[in-house]
Amino acid sequence: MFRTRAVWLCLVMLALCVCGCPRKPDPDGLRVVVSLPQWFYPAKERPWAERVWQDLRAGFPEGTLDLQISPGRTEQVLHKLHVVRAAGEGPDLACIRMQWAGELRRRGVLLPMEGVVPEAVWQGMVPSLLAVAGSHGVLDLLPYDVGVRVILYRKDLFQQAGVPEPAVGWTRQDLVRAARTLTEDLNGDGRVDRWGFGLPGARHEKTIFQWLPWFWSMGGDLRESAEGAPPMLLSEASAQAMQWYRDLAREYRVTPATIYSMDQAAVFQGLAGGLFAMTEGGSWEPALLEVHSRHAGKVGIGPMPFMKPGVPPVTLVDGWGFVLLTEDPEKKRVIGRVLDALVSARHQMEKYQAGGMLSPFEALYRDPRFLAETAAEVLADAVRRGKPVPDFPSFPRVQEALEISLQEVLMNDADPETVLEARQSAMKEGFRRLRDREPARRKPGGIAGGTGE
Amino acid sequence: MKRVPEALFFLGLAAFLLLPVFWVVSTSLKPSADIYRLPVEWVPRPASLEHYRTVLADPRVGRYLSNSLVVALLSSLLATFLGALAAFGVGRHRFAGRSFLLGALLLVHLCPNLVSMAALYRMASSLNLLNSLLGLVLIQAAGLSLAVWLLTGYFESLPGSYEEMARTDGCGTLGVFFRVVLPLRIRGVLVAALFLFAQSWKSFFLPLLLVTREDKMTLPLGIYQFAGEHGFALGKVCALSIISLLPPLILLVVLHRLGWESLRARG
Repeated sequence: MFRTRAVWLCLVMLALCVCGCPRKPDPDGLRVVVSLPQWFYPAKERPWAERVWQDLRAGFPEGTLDLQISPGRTEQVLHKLHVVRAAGEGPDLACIRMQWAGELRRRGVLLPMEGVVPEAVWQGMVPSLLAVAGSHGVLDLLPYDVGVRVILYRKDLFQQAGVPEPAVGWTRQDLVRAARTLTEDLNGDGRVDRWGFGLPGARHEKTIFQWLPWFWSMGGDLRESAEGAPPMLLSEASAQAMQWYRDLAREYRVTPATIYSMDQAAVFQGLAGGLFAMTEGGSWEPALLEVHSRHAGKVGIGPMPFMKPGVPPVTLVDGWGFVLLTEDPEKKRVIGRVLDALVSARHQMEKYQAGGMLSPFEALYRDPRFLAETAAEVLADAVRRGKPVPDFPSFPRVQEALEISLQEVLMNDADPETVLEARQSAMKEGFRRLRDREPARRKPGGIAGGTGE
Repeated sequence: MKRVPEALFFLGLAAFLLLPVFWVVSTSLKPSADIYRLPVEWVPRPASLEHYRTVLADPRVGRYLSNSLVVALLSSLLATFLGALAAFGVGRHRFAGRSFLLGALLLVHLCPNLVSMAALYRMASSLNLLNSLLGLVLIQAAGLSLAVWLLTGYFESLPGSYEEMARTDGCGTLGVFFRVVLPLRIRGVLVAALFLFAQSWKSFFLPLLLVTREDKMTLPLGIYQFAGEHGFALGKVCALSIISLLPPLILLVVLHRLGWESLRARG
């Protein structure tokens, strides 16, 4: 009996060894793996992508350019990148969300890109994006595709009501005036059917990304101290920016008091469906409405208003960029050619024309075809003066604290200063406990206590 | 008459649970231009099959479906077979470390996937199982701990006299399993297979990690191909989601009568 079992066991082990699939040798020539986001997939509705795939592959006949798509939500794609790198493998070049760069940089995943891309490419980049392209003078992310948050409005509703459309230089008073005129009870039942302004207030990371432009436009800024302490939550600008949301709902009554339950998608749907006449949204979104609503061509793009006299409005600029993940000099040469094609003025213009996706390079904003567009000035100005998502180590906690504060202000009609002060104390206490538990993590640029700036 | 409130309660519960599915069906039948229309129209007027036509005409969809079917069917069959054998061993025999083994199996099942993913990826890469359906089948089949857990108690509840009689008639251990235990407990085994099929069918992160070639992608990955960062094709995504529900639904209907009774019998 024992012998039979031993024979079976040996046979199974042998089968496993024989069937173990040895790694196939790489095909002839160099193989360069490029990881791309799902929207890069070549499809009929994305002819620019189809052409790029063909051109890139044709431009590298001496080897294989393996273009791989990573479908999924952005955080899932980031998880994949982490796992693959932890396994010691992964693509040679990856297109990632710019907001991930800070975390990947701190983990030492990103490699310097100097020498891979010609100096002229970096010089042609919009200066506001240099902050996200590198750190401590080392450039390791090449921005490729950006979008900005702007004011989206229904041109047809503005025209029907005879309200001046948002234009460069308009102020918060202009916005409130327009929103008040556009807030209407259309069927006379005593309830508002159309709101002048829509803002998402639900607890969601994108809610804070929409709140940041108002905060920055009030003159605020979020930075860690030189010692790595998290920024102060309570400041004049943060309280005023939260009060702005509260006022829109409670004081001016141009947005529903229930905005604390609305996320970005709900507000966007409201704009498309006519529930809102105006909102703050992504510059790429009007192109979406061309396809998915009956309001093709009716959504206009306006600038963020001046929130304070003398403080120019600042908006959020976010998007995708390429990062280098290989040190192989042969591969780096090929990657240089790939990136050269992707940042070319021709390609960036085609990409913009296909779906309103903006370029991180100045060339687009000087192109006569772009300048002929109605919103050209607004978009160019927003990109040039925009700020990327903050990427200091404690930002996720700061973001969470801001989300909770905003919810409390909107849901309970609470005083922003009181809420922010309480949240700041809680956050400081949390950091203090963390620091006490993990003294090893207490270092500049890491998590630390203190009052910050 | 007494049952009316009960029926109303369950009808209400069913309506609540089915509401999201109804929304998906409704959106999949709306023309693109009506998807964001307010107020939301629950019954699309006019209903349109344009999204179904578009996704079904896309050659990628057939490939995603067949890949998903191959992976889910083979991995669930393999996991059920191996899991049933293991459950038979654990459920019908007493040996040192049995409780520890069961606990360890549960631990494996409860362990977050992300923890083991780097090691799995490394293994799959060194065995050249990346971008391979075989790799997906083998790794999905590793979910057999669920089958072992489901079936151990079920096999355990079988009276010992059956096994003794079979052994008296000359059956070996495997003979007892294949000729006596399996036929008597086939419904439970089918239910376990259904659970494993569903688990594999909807799996997203594992295929995302192991597959980068478009021709090897499964349906959950494929759905995302229609949901771009710059253009969420909601109608197509909903249509594809409804299509993706059909194979498990058919399997559920086929196995329902067999499996439901066995679950009830198990209490």
